[in-house]
Amino acid sequence: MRDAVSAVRITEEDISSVRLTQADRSEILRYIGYSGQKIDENLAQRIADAIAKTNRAADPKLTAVLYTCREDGSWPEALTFLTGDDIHRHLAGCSRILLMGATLGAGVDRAIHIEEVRDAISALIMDSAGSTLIEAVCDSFEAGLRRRAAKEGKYLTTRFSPGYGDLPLAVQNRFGELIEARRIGLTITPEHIMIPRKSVTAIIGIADHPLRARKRTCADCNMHDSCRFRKNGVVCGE
Amino acid sequence: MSEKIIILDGGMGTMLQAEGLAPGEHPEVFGFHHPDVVKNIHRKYIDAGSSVIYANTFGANPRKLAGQGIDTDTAVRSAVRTAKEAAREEQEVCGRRAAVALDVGPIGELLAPLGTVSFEEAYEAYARQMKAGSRAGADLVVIETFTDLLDAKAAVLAAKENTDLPVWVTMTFEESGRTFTGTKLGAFAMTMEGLGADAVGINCSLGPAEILPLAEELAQWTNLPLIIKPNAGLPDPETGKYRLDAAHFAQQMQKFESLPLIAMGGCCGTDPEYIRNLAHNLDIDGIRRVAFGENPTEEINRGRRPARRGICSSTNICEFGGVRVIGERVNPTGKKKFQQALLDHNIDYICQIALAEEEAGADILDVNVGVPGGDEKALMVEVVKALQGVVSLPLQIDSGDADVVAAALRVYAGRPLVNSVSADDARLDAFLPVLKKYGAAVVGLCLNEDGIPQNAQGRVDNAKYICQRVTQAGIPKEDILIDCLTLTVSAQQDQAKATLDALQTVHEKLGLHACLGVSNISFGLPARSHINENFLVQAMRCGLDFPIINPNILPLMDAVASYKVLSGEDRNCEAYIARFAGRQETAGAKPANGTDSGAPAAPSGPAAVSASSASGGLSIEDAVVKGLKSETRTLAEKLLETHTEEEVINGYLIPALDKVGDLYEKQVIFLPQLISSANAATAAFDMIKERIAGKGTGSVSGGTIVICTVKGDIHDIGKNIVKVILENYGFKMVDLGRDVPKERVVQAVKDSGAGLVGLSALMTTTLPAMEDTIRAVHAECPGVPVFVGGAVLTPEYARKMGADFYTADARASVEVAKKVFRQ
Repeated sequence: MRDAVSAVRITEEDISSVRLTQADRSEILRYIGYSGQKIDENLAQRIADAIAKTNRAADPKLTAVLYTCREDGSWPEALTFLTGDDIHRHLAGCSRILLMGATLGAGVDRAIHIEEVRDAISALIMDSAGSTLIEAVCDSFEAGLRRRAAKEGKYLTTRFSPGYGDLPLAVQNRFGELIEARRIGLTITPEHIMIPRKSVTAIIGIADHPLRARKRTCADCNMHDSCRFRKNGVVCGE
Repeated sequence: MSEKIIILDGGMGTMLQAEGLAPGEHPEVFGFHHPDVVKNIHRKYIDAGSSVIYANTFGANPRKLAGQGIDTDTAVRSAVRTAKEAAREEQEVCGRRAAVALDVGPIGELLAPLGTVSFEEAYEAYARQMKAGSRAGADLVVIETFTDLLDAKAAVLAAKENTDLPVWVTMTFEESGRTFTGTKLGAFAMTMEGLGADAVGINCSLGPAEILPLAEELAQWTNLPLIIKPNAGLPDPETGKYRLDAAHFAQQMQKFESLPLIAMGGCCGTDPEYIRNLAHNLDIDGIRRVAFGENPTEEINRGRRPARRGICSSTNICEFGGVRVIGERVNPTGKKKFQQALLDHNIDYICQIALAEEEAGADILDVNVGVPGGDEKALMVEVVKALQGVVSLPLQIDSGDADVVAAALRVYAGRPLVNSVSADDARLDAFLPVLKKYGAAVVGLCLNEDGIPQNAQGRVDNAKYICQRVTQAGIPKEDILIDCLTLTVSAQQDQAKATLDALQTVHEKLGLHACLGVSNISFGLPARSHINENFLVQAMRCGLDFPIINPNILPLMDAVASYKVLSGEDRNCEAYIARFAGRQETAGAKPANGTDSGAPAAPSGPAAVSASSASGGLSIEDAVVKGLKSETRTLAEKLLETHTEEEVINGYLIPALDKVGDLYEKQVIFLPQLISSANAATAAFDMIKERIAGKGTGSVSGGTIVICTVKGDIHDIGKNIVKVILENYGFKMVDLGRDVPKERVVQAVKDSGAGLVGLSALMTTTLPAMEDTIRAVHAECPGVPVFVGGAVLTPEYARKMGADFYTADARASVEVAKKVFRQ
């Protein structure tokens, strides 16, 4: 059974102008294990440069497809590839499901690559700045979505990405086809890696009633043993 | 608009979806199982007025079809047959026979270095699709919706080398005039024209109104006819539906009338109604649809010359018309360190030199990799591939071997220059077919089998001969740069004038571009910079528009900037004013001429403060801990006055690094500071290494380690940090980069005699590749242990995979290396 009519492509939140500011400095540092060490002038300058270069190189783009669940609450056929208990738990009670993909574009990859050749420290900070910016892009989109949902008396779940919990990373390729990731220049390798690198795919549920806050904890994260934040004595903040 | 316009078809995807194609389902697979549905859509388009229909083969390349239960041959054969049946059946109805295009879409993944697909793999995939299409009887090849120039080049070469069909190429651009990967309109046009495409154009992404200005720019860069296949406007952000209806679509397409179009149609969101409107409502005098096969390409072509010309990488165009600097630094001649870097495949070093040239303001980079003991062809391909991922400047491939040049041109994303041919028939015979095939511009040296003519006339005669041979081969005159050859003025004083005279004639009488290596003029003289500058300026006045110089030498670049003001090229002196804004002119001498430190520019910033501050009671340990590069180096030099190299390394540098490691573990410092200290120590290590190499008394290497990120994985930041840190402990690192197949790891271990291998993987999905690589190393290189690291790894998993060591971070890898090499 097909649910072609249940899918609507939306691009209404304009996230193309989202950029890093000095306020993102602490987030950028957190990715590289910062825990209060003294930052000298040299490093401060490098961080400022990394922010400027990332902002110049970034060309944020986002695409999303909104699916409507069936009358009985079951998912449209197109979404049955999303397997595992966790995503079902996450979306329980939702009447609509949004699949999104966002990318900073190939320019950021190229800028990081140039720094890799030139200067390992800047490369590290640029990489971190890119991660921070793509999250900011997704946050901006989600915030707009949340505002509109609130007006309509709807409620949103948090973002849930392939690879979280027991939702396999391997769904990434199918995910990319569904959201037509190529339209934003986002590709996925046979190893399920997104290229450009600074990209995010995620699922957001929309419900007609308030959702019980489901705080993700380190214990149910599949990165539990190898998390770079935990390794550095901090948490990812989710 | 030209007299004859071919009407193409419209969108296929949305039509198929309306007929039952599920979201995410492959249209080729669907079409194979439902040929009648596809045939019916084709027939609707022909009935609406399409003269060329695109077979349902857009994604029928082997990589996209992997795991879909249908192979490329089957998918293509079935889809072309379906389209041909539609054309035949419709011909019986309307009497008009539509041609069938083999539709070839992009591979669906990004090519290296951004992605993991190699140029060669992409070519192989397209070659299968092209052969299948040709066998199935397609009338032409349409390569469309590409966003990566190198990807499109692979497809075009595959089409031209495996079929005799006409090849049309359309790429997808953003309103900025660039594709997602940054390819510029002009770069696309020049590259495709050079490769021998029959038509170029734009499809998808935008509507006709947005594409119009892009098409106008495209037409300036090529004399090929254009193809326009827009979407039905832009999608409505609220609903995702395309906003332009069929009538308005046709209205907007009318505005393309002043452009040299060969074909137009529709892409996403268009259906037979749009095509009907195009075919019947376009109101342009003289338009009539033509049956395919009259070769309209040639007709439209006749007498047109592109308004703009140049060479390009995919993201950067060097437009001819004015002085353009060719940087000469990527060349091992006379540079020990560069030669060694080539032999060690230390490509980062070469990339750093190229980056410095780009920053210094070069417009084109000469690339020469000829070194005794090196495989020039393999090295050239390796270096060109690496450079085009890092610098955006167009390259000049510099080799005397046509084979080497062909290999480089093949993998180059853009339209490069080639250095060089001469008036020697044997060389011309070898080079011209290669230049023609890949569409490169070329440098011609004014010499022949008998050597360099000692007078201007002899050189001009050689230039004439080169021009004649090159244009006979079908390469336009505008693509020739003549090198009138600089001789050393201290040895043959009258030759400077001969060079300049020849240059003037080549420029004025022959109307050709000219390039010239400048600095050779002053060889053997003191204060060379004065001669170099003076000669450069005189040569530019005589018509030199492509000086080959070291762009890092400020006075030479200043001379070029000044010349551009006086020649009028720099309108309103804007570039000049910008260049010198904030520059403090000193009365004293500028940096010396041509001093060849060989070292790339150090990253600026407070870390690179002057050595003079190194005194003042700072210990070498403090300097390392604080990450002060030049201080560390200076202090090490001071220590060497009273200590041996061994003592400085083991008694000072290593303990300092150990202290840094300790501070890192205690979280007194964090990662950037750890790297910074490592870099400071490197400055001292490098100096000591050079001293030892100078003495020829062995090496300081503590052992050789091969390191890489495994096949399929492209995360290399962590791997790079491990490399930097290990290097600082004196280990010789052989860095194979990222996405490295196990065979290369094994080969590198054997070639380098490495005693340890380090593997990195950041994704759970690439751990199997890591395990394979460990197994291969253990099987083929017994006794060589493997350490692994990466975000998703745990000690347990590492053990399970058979790794000898697990390293949680860069610091831990030092302990492993120490342990292994102490044994």
